[in-house]
Amino acid sequence: MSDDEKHKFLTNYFSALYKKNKSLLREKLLKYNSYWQKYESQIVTALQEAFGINLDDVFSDLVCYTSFCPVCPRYLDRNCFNNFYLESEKGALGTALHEIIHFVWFHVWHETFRDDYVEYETPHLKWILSEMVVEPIMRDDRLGGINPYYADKSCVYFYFYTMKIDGKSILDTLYKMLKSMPMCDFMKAGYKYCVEHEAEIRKHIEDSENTFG
Amino acid sequence: MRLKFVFGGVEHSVNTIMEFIKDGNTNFWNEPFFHFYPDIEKDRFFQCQTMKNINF
Repeated sequence: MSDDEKHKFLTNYFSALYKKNKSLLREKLLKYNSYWQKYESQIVTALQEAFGINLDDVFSDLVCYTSFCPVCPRYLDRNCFNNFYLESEKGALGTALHEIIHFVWFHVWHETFRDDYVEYETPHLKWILSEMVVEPIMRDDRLGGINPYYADKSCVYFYFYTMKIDGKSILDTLYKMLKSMPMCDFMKAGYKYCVEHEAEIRKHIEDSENTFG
Repeated sequence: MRLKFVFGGVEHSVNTIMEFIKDGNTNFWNEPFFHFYPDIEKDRFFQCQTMKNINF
């Protein structure tokens, strides 16, 4: 099929699915928003402490688009991201936590380094680091404790859990670094570490993706 | 910081899905879609030349 044909087919398929699931979607959105509200203050406090910034005046318009797509991208330029409509309210909160850490991470990163937003996307190393650091940041119980994906060891791409550098878990190494210095210093040190080990990091990702499924 | 969950709409979903199932993406990116929608057969989806050949 050409891309146009695929698009047409999927539009018909998901239009029908939407009609069947209108009331389910309404219920899900009510639950997602209500559950988020319950933990918003706790999350904001934890993120403010982790990043050393005040979040009162930033990200006042974040939107999570509930979607039929089971993969959940984020769009830094539009302050929005996706979650999957079959997620529970706990799962949706976990997805939101993962993505919001990206938003705050790159907000602080850009304020600090003033580099190009293009480098914040795949396949750049800054993007890879941003995907890794979600787990160490999530080790704060106020975040990880309310994220079912954290307990399930699936709050970051699976290959980061098995990635070892010099025989040590890269996530543990980053966590130790994170706990020992302010966030901006951690960003510099974490990135330097990734540059030094870029070949190993990329090989592990490539091997893992190629043997997936 | 404020967050709101809203339905993104069918078009938004389709556009996002298209990003992950485009040619050249590895299974890692397109497998979740076919896992959750098993009635859309992956091989036929990628191999059929025209919509007429599809009868899911």
